[in-house]
Amino acid sequence: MNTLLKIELKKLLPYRSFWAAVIAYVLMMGGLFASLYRFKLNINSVDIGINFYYFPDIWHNIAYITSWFNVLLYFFVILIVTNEYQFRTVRQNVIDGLSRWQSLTGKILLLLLFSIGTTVLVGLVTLACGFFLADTDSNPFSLEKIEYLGLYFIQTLGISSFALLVANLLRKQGMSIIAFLGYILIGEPVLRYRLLPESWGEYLPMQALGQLIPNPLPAYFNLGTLPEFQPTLLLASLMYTALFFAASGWVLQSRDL
Amino acid sequence: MIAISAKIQYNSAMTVLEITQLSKRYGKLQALQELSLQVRQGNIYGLLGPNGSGKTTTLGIILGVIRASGGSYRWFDGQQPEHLARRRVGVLLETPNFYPYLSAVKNLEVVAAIKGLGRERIQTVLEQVNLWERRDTPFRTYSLGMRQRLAVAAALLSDPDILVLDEPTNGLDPQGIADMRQIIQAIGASGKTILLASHILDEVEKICTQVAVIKRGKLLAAGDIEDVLRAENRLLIGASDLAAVQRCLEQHPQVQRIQPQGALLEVIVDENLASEALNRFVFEQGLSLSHLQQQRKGLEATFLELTADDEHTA
Repeated sequence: MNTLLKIELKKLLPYRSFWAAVIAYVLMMGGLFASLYRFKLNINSVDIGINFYYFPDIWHNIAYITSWFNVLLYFFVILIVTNEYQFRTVRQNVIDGLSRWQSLTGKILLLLLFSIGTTVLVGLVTLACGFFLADTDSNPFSLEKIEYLGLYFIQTLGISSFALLVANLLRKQGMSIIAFLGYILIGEPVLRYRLLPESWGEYLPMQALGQLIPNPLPAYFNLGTLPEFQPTLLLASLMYTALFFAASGWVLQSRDL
Repeated sequence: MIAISAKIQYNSAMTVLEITQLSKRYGKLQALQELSLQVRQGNIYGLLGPNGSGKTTTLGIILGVIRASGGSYRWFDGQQPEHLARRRVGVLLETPNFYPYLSAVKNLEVVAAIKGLGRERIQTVLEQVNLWERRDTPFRTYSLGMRQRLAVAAALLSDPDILVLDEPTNGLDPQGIADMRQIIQAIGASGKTILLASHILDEVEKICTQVAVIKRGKLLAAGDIEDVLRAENRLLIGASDLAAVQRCLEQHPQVQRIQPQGALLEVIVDENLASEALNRFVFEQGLSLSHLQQQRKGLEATFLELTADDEHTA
């Protein structure tokens, strides 16, 4: 396991695009939350934004907002996996002595590492915003709702596993990105609203993974209450993640490289 | 003809690679048809065949990247799992595959990590192929010759028991070809086993000790190179009583084949049978020849004949 991750890191760490992506990710995150500082919007004489950084809801709020930045991470996953096909190094790695399972395991470990990394980052951003941007006197530090950090991790890993599958299936970078976005933005909504019975829709993979962290913003606009996550979606998400990894394994095992 | 009857000489050395009835089908195309061969320790084994004959498919299968449709293969008598066995194999393919953004050293570090090696030999092999000076520049800046040399370095990194080479001189300039052949021969001379796929007869003939000739995925002949690609003696004979001469020649043990060639007879004889001896033999039977011409057939012709379309050669 350790060796497989080391091999992946030897490929990754000298890769400039990786550092560019990391820096972009960190800057985007920091920038957004700094810019939301003292963000106030007055709609129909209701002030919003003021509670955004208050514990304990901040765990939920920041997990939700940052989950959108993860598109960058999913594109990066597609990039490094399709790179291996484009450079024909996935083939070379097997020739050199990796089994196909090991080749996949290396990538899964990398996705785990990415997911852990972003989760830790989100945790740090949450703490920083909570302590420095909000009034902790009236809303003291709290670990309530920290489970959203865990859900964020599962969501990141789950959607990454989907990106990994698409990249392994299609092998081409452009096509993979189009298919990945196309499924999320067009494919699944069509399935959900046009083809499948109503109650099935929320168990579609991207829907289930997406709803792990439900959108908290409408509540701030006085549109309903702050939603809670549903345990059945957690179960569905874990199953989809396992399924996507298994499908990647099947694709790698059965095809010529 | 000879090639088919040639016996494959086995010695007691370990079987490095055993291929048994390997087949591969791509849709309608039968790329490989029940190919069987054995590479023993110390062999310099040539896999010879025209382009598209199934050489690269065969190598792809035994290296784990192409799935066979049938048959099996075994490395090192099957002592260890396949992917671990592959770590002991040095491979040089037609196109070198490396991470373009990594330097020579970093690329070799990836290979070393996969093969479970340390970094100790990286300098040695890079010096061996004259790339040590350029060790820190990214692979994408390398010329074709340098890329090929880095591939050689990667193949030698594990000090492998067997080297597998796929058309190693393709696309190289004459100097590159000469260098590459020298490297291969030096490795062979050091007692290592080599499996060399090539469509160039001359290359196989100069380097190899054993050969398997394949065409359209079928094994045509296999064995020691002298047996398979033996230069044969071809004589053209004329006589007033051609039929009597033919009957007479058919008695001679060293005559392999006789076929009419216009007004003459084409007689294929063993290499060591001199035309004088044959003439004397005919004369002693009370016949005389009006025409006797020796046509030495080269390896090229043997190879072409082996891979020709006629079914009787297969």
